[in-house]
Amino acid sequence: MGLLPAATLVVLGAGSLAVAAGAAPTQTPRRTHARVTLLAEHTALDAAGRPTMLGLDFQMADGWHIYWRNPGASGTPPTVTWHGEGLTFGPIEWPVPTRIDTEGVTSYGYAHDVLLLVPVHRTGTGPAPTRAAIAGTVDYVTCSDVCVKETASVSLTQPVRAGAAARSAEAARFAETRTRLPKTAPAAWSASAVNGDNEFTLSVRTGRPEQAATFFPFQEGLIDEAAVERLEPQPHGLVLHLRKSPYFNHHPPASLDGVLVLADRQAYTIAARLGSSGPHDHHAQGERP
Amino acid sequence: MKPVFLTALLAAGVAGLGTTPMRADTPKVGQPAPAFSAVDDHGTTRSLADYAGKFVVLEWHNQGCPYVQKHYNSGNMQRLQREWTAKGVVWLTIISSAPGTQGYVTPAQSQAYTNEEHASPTAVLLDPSGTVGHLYDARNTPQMFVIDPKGTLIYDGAIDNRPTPNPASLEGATNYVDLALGEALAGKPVTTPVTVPYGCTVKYGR
Repeated sequence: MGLLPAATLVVLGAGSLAVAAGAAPTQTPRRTHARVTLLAEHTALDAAGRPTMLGLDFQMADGWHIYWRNPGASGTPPTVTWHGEGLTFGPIEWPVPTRIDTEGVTSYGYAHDVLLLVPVHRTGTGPAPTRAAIAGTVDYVTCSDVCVKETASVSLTQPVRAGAAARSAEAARFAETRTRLPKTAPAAWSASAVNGDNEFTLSVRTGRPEQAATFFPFQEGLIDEAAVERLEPQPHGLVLHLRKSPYFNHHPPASLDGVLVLADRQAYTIAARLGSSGPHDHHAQGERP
Repeated sequence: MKPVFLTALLAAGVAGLGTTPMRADTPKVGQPAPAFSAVDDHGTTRSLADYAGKFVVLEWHNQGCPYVQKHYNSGNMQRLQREWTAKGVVWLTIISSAPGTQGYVTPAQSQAYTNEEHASPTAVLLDPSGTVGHLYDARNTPQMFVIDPKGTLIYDGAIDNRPTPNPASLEGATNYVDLALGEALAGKPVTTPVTVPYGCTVKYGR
């Protein structure tokens, strides 16, 4: 039910001069639980090296999910090995994940579908080729009540041209996904955190009272993902109490880094300098004019 | 303690997200390891107390989990079992999968798997009720615990520092069980007593 044959793994980005690569016809068909497709936001790569965006489009079978960069209490985020002569690929840009609760264990990931964005630009010297072949090997773990390790080979070929290229047929997916990427926190905000006995207390000053907040840390093993986050709205921001992970190793990082999701799913990347408990008074900080 | 805390949360009008499971207090490294008894796949009851005076390793196991398969298909887990039991360490493989969930095995299936994999734990404990798993708050497979001869928990966490099911990740990995047992058997303190376990969730059932 909802299973997809592996033969559909290699799907080509529309709007490109696409050539299948890596679809091994001799491969024994097997069942997979996610279909991975490589999409491109534009119809060509810029010969001069202006970056454009690729997207790994994961379509999960019903009940299956993949993982965020910090997978939480189980799982592993997808990784990709890129091949493209004269091309440089940036790190994955991760949309805000959702909490996935299984039998008292909470992981961070994506159900249904997600587009993971990957910037690419030409760095090759010498005359630009007319076309560039892009291939990726995607290793990922997908889980429902059980987990499966899968590998997908994805590829597409794009023309290389001077100047800005037209948007591809999938450009709307990229635009929609960008609305789900965390934004850089405004410069006027301030964030700090206190390393208490049993919890981290995260204080963020946003300039307005915040009535909803959830925090996804980048680092594993800091907070107990399954615990309720206790929010104290402040006149000019928020205080969020985050229970420590049972695996917190008493070597705290310099700052609590992650994604803060506020009301209306507005998400921001924050880095909250982490101090020990004592002189800090988060209430006072929250009230400061 | 916990009920009071929860009541306070409710009174404060919490913006709760997800669920807060009621967990037993996690066993803490440096404190006595929780006592337990369980029946192994040969029908013998094994208690932690039976092994007083010895180092004991607990290995949470699910043969269907790709993270466990990384360590068995490569022979990495069998190597650990062989090397450390040869040095007098007791190795208990524990299966907490509930009936009907991945990794649940009958005693006969467990014995067959152990033979096929050339595994050599001291015993394989069948914990289909999840009692021992919950006692240790075992979260993942594989998750590893090390207990010293005085019954003190001296390691809790991952098997190594590569949280992926990719077999290529084994090369150059730091194996935390080797590290902890190597230090402890040499009479040294364990330098990395707690790490973040990785893998599948333990299939306790609903």
